[in-house]
Amino acid sequence: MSADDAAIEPAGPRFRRALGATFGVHVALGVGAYALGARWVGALAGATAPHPHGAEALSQIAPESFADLARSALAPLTFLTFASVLLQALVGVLLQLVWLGAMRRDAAGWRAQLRRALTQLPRALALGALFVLALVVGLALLGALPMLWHVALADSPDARLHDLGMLAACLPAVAFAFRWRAAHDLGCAAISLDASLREALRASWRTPGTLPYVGFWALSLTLLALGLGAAWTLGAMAALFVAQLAAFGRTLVRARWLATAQHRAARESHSRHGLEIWPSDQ
Amino acid sequence: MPSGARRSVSFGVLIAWLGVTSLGAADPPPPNPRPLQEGHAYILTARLDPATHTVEGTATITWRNESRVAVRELWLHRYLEAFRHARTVFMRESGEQLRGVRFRGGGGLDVHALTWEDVDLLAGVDDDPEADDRTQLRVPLPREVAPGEQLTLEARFTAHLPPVFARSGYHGDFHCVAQWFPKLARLEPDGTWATFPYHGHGEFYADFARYELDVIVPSGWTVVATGARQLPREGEPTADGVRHRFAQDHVHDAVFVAAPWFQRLSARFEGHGRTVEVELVHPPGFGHAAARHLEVTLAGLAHFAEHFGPYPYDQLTVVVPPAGADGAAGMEYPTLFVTAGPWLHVPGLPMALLDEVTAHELAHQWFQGLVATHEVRWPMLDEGITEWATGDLLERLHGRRRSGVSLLGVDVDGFEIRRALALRGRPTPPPARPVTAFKSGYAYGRSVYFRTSVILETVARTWGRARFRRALGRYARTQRFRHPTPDDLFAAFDAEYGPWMSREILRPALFEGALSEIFVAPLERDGGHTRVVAERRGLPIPRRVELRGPSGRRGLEWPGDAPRLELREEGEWTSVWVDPDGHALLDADRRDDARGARDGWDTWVARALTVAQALLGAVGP
Repeated sequence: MSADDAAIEPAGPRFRRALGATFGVHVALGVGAYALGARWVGALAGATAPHPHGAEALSQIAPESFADLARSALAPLTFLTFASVLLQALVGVLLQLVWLGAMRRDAAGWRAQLRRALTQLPRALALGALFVLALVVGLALLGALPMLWHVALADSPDARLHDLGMLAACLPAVAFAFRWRAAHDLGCAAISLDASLREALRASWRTPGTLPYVGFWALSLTLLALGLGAAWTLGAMAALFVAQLAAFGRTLVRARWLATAQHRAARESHSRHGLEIWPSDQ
Repeated sequence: MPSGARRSVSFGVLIAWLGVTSLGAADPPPPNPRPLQEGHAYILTARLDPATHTVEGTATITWRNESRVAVRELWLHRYLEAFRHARTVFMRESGEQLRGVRFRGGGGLDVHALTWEDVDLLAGVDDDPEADDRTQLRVPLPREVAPGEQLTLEARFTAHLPPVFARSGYHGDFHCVAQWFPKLARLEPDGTWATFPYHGHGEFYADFARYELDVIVPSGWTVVATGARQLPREGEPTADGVRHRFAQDHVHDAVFVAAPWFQRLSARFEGHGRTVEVELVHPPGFGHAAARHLEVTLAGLAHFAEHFGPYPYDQLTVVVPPAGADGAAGMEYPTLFVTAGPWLHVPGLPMALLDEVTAHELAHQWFQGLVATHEVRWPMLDEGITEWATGDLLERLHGRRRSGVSLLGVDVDGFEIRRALALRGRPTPPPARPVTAFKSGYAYGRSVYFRTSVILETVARTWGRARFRRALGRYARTQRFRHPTPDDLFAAFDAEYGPWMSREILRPALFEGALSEIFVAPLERDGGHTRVVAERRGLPIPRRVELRGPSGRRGLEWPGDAPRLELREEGEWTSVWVDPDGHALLDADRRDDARGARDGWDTWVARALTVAQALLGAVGP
């Protein structure tokens, strides 16, 4: 390990430093989710009215309830859900910068972090735009593979061969999507350390990080599945408790990955490509 | 799995079945032992040309005049003509599509020769009795055929198969050869011919007969067909292919299905005094799904035999069509049916919907195959009863709550789905109508399939399933190998329940579209008492009423002869629920069957919160 390497803080301390911010992100997601979930349940309760035991009687009255739900509430609920997701995605960039900012050695109070994140936001948005472009081009090219397979097996009686082949042909696109997502996080991590857009782009594509990202992603997915499983098998309070634990666990895993991304972006840019250690990370 | 391999099938379900269903089968009437119509026979030969998708065939048809009057003409059906062009009756009624599959043309049945006693009958035929539709042939005879007299026709024909549509045709190398030969209409006892063009939603009504079928296909192809094999499975080599031979007594149609890549599962069903060889053929890749189809078939054979009399043939064949051949899927023929479904089967996943087509087409072996009603005149006796039997089998396989959908913690009773399809939205006409009385396939399906089945299930749930099965079993047994009408169905039910059943329930529901709807008024409280008022409109179906409150629950009976319920119960009851067991399905909206304070939503709040959190987390920072 070189002296410069030693100067770059590993992921663990970054993660621990940002625990407060991580909890804040969990709370923000929880509040948003509660608002959304309450609307869903409210609409379902309305569709089962006047039956007082709509939840218990759902197996009997589901057809008329869902028909009413589809007719009167599906459009506003869909809009609300998409709007929430879109808002989350838009605010998410800023929130991610604040979160990453909390991992820096020179992390300040949340107001200072927010001000700094706002100065970084244009670069992050520009990065995001370039990444969206790359995603569209990449998926368009890789999407040709399953189409070719479909055409090649159009007359085959073996639907399993066709379908599994389609699935296999989609794998390069999936791998590309993982690489894309990891690279985007690495680029954001670089920006959170005050890297320029050019430096962030270089860091994002030259820094290996896909495998760790997939590992963290799989762990997140497992935790989310645990939460969903609890919600569908346990009683209300127990389900709520386990699901919240699982959701917080998922947010912690995400934080650990972002800390790793920040560390990797800093280290790789410095040691492999001769970049200066970004001032924020010294 | 290589072709011809034999796979053992789990009989666990079957054994459990036999144990349970032996209860409640008190003295069923014996099945009608033999068909009324002896002396009818079709000896058919077919040579399939997979390159041109044509069948060169001959038919020797033996027919006896079983009516009370002499006849001077015959009526033959040649239903492949329905696919000749887009102006046929079938196409006009179906809108050139069936179950989402579009008509692509290319079908037809050319009859090159038709003789009786060396007399050419073709010269005088009327082959276009309906404008633009040549699915019927009116054949004047050179002399009268007296009651009881038998005649033998000789025919030579070419069947042109369309790209698979409405159960007939080809998809790649897959050939489903149905409605492929000239076939006599049925002569009613009064001497009128029950003839009709090929309609969009009904085709079967024919005499029981012996069918013998010789099929020649290219070497290496597998053929399955109506009836039992008369030659080794691999067939008999001929100069231009391989011959397969099948024969079956007491059936009213014959089809064959051929492909070069079929794989095979087989099992033997033994029970109710019968041994049935069950053969299933499927495309490569469908092995696991095929095993499930076979499992459902075996369970269904036991279930239906128990309640409707044994399956009387030695052979039953199940065909799983390849992807893309949806036009052939979900269709019944005597001793053979084509099922449907994806190749993927996840063992242990309780998806009743995936078993539905197999259960339905198997039930048709009884209600259509054996109880051979006039499908065009009384489709409810065919599709409606079959749909009920389907739901009944799925309830036994999956349990009532999961007999429709069971996914992500939401269980929906299959008959509740049928109720919604039948009764929600636009009003449906009563089911007891001919096929031609329905304006669309959608209306036909909602009424004939779903409304009939919901009516029958309401009777089963309200007055007991075992009793209902005895009544329907009486109908199925006494009408086996016959051509019954609704009166025969009502007679069987009245024998079990009394004459009120058809007079007050079945006739009004099936012929007039009567429902039985409940409306519960908001609860009223006065001085430590709770007042409950409810009204019933329509059929006199009794219901159970449940009061709920902090001190528990109390159940009451609401008899069928009281259209209004008024209760003044002591205590602070918080809710009332009429028919909490979900017996009376003839109610278009059951949400107003209960009133009171809301409860039970906290679990859904927890679920919704978790899902939303997962969703937002997935797109979050």
